[in-house]
Amino acid sequence: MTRIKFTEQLSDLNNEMIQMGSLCESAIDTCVDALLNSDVSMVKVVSQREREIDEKESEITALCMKMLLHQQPVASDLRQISAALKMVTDLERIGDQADDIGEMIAYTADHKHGEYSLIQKMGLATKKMVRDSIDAFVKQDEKLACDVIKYDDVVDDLFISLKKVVIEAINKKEIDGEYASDLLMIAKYFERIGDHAVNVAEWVEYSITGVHRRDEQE
Amino acid sequence: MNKTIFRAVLLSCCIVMVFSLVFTLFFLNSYFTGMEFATLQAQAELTGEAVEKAGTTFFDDFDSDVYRVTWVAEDGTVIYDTAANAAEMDNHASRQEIMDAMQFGYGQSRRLSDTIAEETLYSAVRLDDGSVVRLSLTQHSVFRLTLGVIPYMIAVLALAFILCMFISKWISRRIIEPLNNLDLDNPLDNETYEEISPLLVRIDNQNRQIAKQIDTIRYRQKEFNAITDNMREGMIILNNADLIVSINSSAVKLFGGSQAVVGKNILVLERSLEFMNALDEVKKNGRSEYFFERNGFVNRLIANRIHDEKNNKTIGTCILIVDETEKVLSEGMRREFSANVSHELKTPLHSILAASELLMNNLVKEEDKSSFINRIHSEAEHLVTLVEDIIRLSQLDETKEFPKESVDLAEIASSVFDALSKSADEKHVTLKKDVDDIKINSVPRLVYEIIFNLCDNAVRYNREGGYVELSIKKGPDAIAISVRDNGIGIPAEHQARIFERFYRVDTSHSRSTGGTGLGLSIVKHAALVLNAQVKLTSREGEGSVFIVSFPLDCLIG
Repeated sequence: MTRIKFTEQLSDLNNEMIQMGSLCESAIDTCVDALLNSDVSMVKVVSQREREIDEKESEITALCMKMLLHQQPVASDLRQISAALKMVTDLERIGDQADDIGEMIAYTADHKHGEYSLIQKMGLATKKMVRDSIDAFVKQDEKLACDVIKYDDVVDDLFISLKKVVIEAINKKEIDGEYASDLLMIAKYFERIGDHAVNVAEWVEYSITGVHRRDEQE
Repeated sequence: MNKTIFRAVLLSCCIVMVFSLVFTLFFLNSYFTGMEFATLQAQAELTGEAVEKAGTTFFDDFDSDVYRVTWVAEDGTVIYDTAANAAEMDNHASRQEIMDAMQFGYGQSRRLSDTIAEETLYSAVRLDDGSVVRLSLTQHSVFRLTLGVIPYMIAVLALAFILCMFISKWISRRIIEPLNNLDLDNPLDNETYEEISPLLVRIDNQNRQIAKQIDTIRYRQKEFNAITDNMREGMIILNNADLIVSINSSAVKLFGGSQAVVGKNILVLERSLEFMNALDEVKKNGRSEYFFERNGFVNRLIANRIHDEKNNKTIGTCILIVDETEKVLSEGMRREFSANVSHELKTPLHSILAASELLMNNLVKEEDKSSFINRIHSEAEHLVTLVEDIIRLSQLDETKEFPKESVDLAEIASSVFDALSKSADEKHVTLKKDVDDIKINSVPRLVYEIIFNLCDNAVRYNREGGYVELSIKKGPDAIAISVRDNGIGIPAEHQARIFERFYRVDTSHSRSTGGTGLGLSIVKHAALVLNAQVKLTSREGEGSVFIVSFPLDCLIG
């Protein structure tokens, strides 16, 4: 007997996840665009996205719970649902942090030094990670998920070199303290978004293979 | 079916088994009772004879636990009984066996005792004096017997049941096997039960019909794919659940997927928020449209609801993606052109206005007046040239056919040089020409425009003491008009764009050189109308060469 309702719900879940991913992508894209063009007017869009992402999160969680209770899924279906439950948390965090970055861009957009180009680079790298992790989910592409996990090193390295540059600039008294701290905060948020993208990619891997990276390493 | 057959066989086995067991039991019981009666009868006859001879004294020696003997008088009163006191016993005349014995000489009967577990067999013989001797024997009833047999019966039944199960399983498998092994792809090749052959024939017919229909559908699909795959526009058809039913190669290329997405949700292919909004809007309003940029191309996406008129319901969505890059670009260029035109027209006008206002209010010293008037004159002249150029260009844009006539290239070259000699002298630029006597069938005015504008530019963007060399030669496959100078040259990054209207290498739009920014645009258009090719080689600081090649077929003589 095929479970028509259940199959429908599963494909609904998949679509909702893609939509939530797309919202996250849009939030971070807008952030990075604002950063590249020093355009503060886009910040409002980011917080709007953040609210939409929150709504989607509760929708997806409710759907997952409903399926777990009413349909009692097993095997790969259960894996898909539990992975989705984990992924929405990470996606929601990505949305929150994009919103935080949006707020801070307003304070930093006037300045343009060497370190600003580094943060732009970080933004682009993080954007790529988020996009690829969602792509990996959409296409159920294990290799792409693996690439995202590896790409995290790039963002981490950028964060470290940005930190060095900022410290140097502070020592030389080239930038004021407030700007420096804002810059570091933005960089940290980007770095965290990268980590969340890695988490998403790991759950994608898990939903395909049934083995989570963390368990494998133990 | 396997199960049904198995159950039927098992059930019938069990029923037969139970029936035969019960039947056997009853048969045996009645057989043994018959035997018992026969023995009892013999015993009764013997006892009767003994009683007849010995009278009551027979009973004195009688000693048996098995048999009970009763002697009944002709009137039914009991004379003697071995088990009870005869005086206390009822009249026995109404007992079945006694009645029978009195009537026929012998009678028998059986009765259940108070407990149904036992029954008593009676056998009675009439003596010569009319009295009756009755022998009775108490034994276990059939019921009791049956009760005793039940455990064995159950054991036998269970054993038989297990056996039956195996057998019926085997039988049902044997029956089903040929059905399971049916080759439904070639139903007529099967050798199996005759009863299902009508079914097989039917299946064969349907197989053929299905194959035929699939062929038709495949052909249609191929036809459809061939049409859609050759479209430059992307086309995607979705069903009601937004699953991709069909996608052509242009759309696959645009969204970077593969044909494997057919059957999957459209969001797998494209998940931008704009796209999702468009899908929502289609569901609400039946149509939606938006522009998006991808890989440097501007595309317009049009989504339409597919409506089934007959059943009045929506069956899906059709998405068309049209490349509008050129349209958007040309729209932008047109906007830029009108902005440029107004700017170019406004600047000299402002200059004229300012100078004339100063003159009008007598704010200019007498000795400066002539220079102001000169300024007004030169700006007005520039305006006229500009307007003339614009008119020429729009004529080229609008006119499709120009009347062709014989054109003497050498003559045109001389007239161009005459027109330019003054400005060349001013800039100290030498004009050189190397012109063959060639006549072509063309439009004289356009040929003049081409040569004039190229030479004019060469003089204008030259250096002090430079030269301009015009050569018109007949080559092996074209007539080449080349204009060479050793002027300031054109930087490589600007070379692709200098034929655009109002495009200038010097972006400050300075009119120090006096050009309108339309000359090369006119050259390009005129060449296009005359079916000629314009080629440019130039190096910054070293000069430029423009070569216009006319096809040989317009040569006269």
